[in-house]
Amino acid sequence: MLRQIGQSLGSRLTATPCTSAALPAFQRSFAGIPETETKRLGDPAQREVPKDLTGVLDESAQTLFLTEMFRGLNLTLKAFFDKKVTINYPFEKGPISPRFRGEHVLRRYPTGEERCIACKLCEAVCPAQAITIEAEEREDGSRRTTRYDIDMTKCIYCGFCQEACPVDAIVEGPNFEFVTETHEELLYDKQKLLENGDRWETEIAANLKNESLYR
Amino acid sequence: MAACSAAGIDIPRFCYHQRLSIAGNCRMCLVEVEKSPKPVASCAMPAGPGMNIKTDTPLVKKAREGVMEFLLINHPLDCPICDQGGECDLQDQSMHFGSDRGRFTEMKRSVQDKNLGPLVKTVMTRCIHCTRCVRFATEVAGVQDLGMTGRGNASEIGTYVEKAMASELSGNVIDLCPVGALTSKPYAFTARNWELKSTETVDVSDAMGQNIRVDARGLEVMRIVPVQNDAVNEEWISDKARFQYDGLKRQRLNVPLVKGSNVLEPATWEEALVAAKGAISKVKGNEMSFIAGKLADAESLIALKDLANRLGSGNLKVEAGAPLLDADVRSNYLANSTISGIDRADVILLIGTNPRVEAPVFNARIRKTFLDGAHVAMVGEEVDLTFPVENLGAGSDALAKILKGSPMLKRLKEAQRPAVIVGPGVLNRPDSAAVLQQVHELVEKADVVKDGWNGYNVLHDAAARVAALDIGFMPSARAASAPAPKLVYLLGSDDFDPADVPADAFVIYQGHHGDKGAARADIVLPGAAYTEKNATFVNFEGRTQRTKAAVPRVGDARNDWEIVRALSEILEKPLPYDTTDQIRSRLADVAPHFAEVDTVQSPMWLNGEYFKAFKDRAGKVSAQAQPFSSSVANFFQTDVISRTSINMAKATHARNAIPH
Amino acid sequence: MVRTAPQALAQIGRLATPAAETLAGPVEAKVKDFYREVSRLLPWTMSNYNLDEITTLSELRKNVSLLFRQNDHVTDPKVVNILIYKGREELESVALQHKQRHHLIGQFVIAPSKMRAELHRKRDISPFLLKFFNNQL
Repeated sequence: MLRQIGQSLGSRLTATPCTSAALPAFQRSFAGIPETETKRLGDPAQREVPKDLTGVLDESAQTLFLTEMFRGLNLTLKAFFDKKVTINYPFEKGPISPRFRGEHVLRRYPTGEERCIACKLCEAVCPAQAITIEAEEREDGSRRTTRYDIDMTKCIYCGFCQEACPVDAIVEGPNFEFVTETHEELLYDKQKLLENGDRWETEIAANLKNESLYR
Repeated sequence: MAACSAAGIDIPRFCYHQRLSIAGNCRMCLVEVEKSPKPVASCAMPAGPGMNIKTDTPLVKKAREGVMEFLLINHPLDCPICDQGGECDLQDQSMHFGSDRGRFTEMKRSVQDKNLGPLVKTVMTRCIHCTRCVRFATEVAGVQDLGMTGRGNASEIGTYVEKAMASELSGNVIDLCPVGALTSKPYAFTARNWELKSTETVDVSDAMGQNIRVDARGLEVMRIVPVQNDAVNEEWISDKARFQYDGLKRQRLNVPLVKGSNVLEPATWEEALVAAKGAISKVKGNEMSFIAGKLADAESLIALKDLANRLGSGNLKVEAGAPLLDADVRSNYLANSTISGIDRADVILLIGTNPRVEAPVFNARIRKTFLDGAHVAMVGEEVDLTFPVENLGAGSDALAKILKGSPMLKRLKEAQRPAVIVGPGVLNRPDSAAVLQQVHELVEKADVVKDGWNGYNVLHDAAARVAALDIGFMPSARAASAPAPKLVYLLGSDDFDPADVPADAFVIYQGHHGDKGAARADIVLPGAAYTEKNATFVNFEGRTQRTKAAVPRVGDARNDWEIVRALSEILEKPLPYDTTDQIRSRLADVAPHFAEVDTVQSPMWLNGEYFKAFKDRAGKVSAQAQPFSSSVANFFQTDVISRTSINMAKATHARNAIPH
Repeated sequence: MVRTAPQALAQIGRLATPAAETLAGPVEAKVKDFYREVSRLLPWTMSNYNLDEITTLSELRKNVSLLFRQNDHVTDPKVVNILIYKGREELESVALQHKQRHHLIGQFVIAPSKMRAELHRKRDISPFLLKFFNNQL
């Protein structure tokens, strides 16, 4: 009997898969769980009660020795020693594609002149109507905005505005860590905060250069 | 092209315009005509019997693609910075008819921008040389300022000498230009057409009632463009109507003000109306006078008249002009031929009117009639009406000369549809009754009024005048003997005669801008401007038109007639109407044509019966020798809105700088 | 003298439940009882929320009675029951300090005075004039 138990244990541990198309879903064997187990542990109403001695002894052994419990714990133990993929966020950060869409930035030309020419295409294409623009003729006669607000709480970060912009003025930079404490701070006003994208210009310029083949 | 559009097929075009001569230089309207070796410019080819016109064959498609490609060769990539983006004919037609790729790899030509004045912005690089502006300036506006210099690649549209466009209709080239070469300077860069909400309404800068469309973004009026109405203004509007909207944002009255010790202080409506009640109850009926401004609407006029009558006063007048015009017979103060009827006149005599500054679009219409062969003469000061006009003299002596028997009289008699247009130059004079008597003698002698044609026209210079006359907002018979007023109610009146407002009178001003009236007032009640209310105006041909509110009212302002109604209730003499419909039915009771909107009821001429009364009145006054002069000194600044407008001030400067 | 919130609650008598209001009986008596309960709590409310700086006890009571009188026109006993239940909920939230000072000031000092001004104005002017003054035309 013990040999039988040993055999049945062994067979269970080697986890022979079997086809089980005929069984209901919860009783079908998943990878690694033999059919006998699923039958035993599934719906009590549909359980096949073993009638032969081997079967009864098997079942008793499983109940006494908590077979499936140990199988599960074994799996956990294996995972315990596995190499983890968690990264230690604030100190380690995952890689970001150059196409990543984060905090909005209004760019400038290398001479320092702001790129945005108030064409209002970004305002028109924005699906969330997050951009508000008012424009006027500047003293030197050029077309510039007097008001360029993006409501970062309405924005869905789809990148349509950067696709629409004909002069690459509005882009979505790689920054996603711009948490604020009040709602008001997230209503990016005029061009002041957006021009703080002067901060991100180097990285954005590099990203745009990489992407220029595809845009 | 007209035949195709009558059949429901629209042919693309750039240079063709319904109201201008045919140029045929854009070649976009090419269609295939059977039995013709080449595609044909449908704008220039008259449709003949038996013609088979094909507009969707591969040849036509190729022609359109080709023409579009050529047009885009030298056209700059300005769409993001061009104001016409979103409403550009070139953009739309290139999407519809152009090819999807270009093959131009050379350098594009560029052109220097021309300075056409403070109202029209030019970026001549975008010009596609359709010459619509040139044809408009030459044919419709009558100033030959624009022309094409150079040829081929180097052709440029401009004024050749640095000169602002000297026409009051110069803003219309902005609508005509199919690309962004000519755009509105005040509107430059401010908005895109998809952001704007349009409201069709009526302009009040002159008595013509030009149909306009007010484009507003939120609370602000961004621009004003014309609405086509063949009966009134065709497709044009004057520069004042188009550009004075920036005056709506400045000097606005937004809270009721009551004079404290020495200075007007803000108050609530209850306080202001109670203060008004206090002032009114101290004054007797005939010591009150009510002066309506140039921009007063019919609803507030009838409300004020009803209130004045209930208070026992008949001292009503409209400011600045036509003091002796009688309101009894409608045909006496209207343009009886109607504005579109002038097109059919063959002899026109202008007496004491300069339509070029009083109603520029009407002047364009008279010019159209002149180009069709009419003979136009005038009696009054020598002015340039953009077309040659025979000047018969300067004053009433010239009229007397005509009456005695002159070629002009003969011409009027022999004409099939003679028209006489009398203007503010006659109506504003103290001896206007005598002059009008002469005019009516002329009308009788020259058979100006015939069967099926009434050629007697009166031109007014203010939007409120005809409605006031229709309602009877005139001094009553007893008003002439009334003492100097102790209380004056100004309904938007800022051009009042200082003699009408004595220095010790208590003044209540109801209006929308802070100008002379509010400065003099003891109580200020803020009303609504014409873009902010649904009001009724009657133009000088007697057409009732209604404005629609395009933007909300400023601050704590209220609708004008509602202010009068509220005041009447505070005075315990409540007027019998509470809603707009009720006051409009009151207007219709007073004069039925107020209910017939957008149509003209030709009034009865009464066969000169009426003018016998004139003869009596004229007997007391004799005609003076001064020449007839227009009431409009500066076209750009005639009423409170245009005086507050910066665009109009710039235009005045530019106009004064033009060497005449 | 009621000093603490639990004592205040004890003074109210019972927590608000809709079922409690379905007790049969004459409507006016129930309303009067409820009004008395509210008035009993007012002194504690004044001291607890420092309303002494804003208003006086009698003013507060007048405001409360104005709020009661707003529903003068209701006759259906079921509706009255519901109203008393709602009122009791409010009372409970005041007693348990679920409300804050600014809530009470807005609800029981400012709003009733505005209501009074409105009623006063409404009394002798026409609907047109009322709408004119409120810019509702």
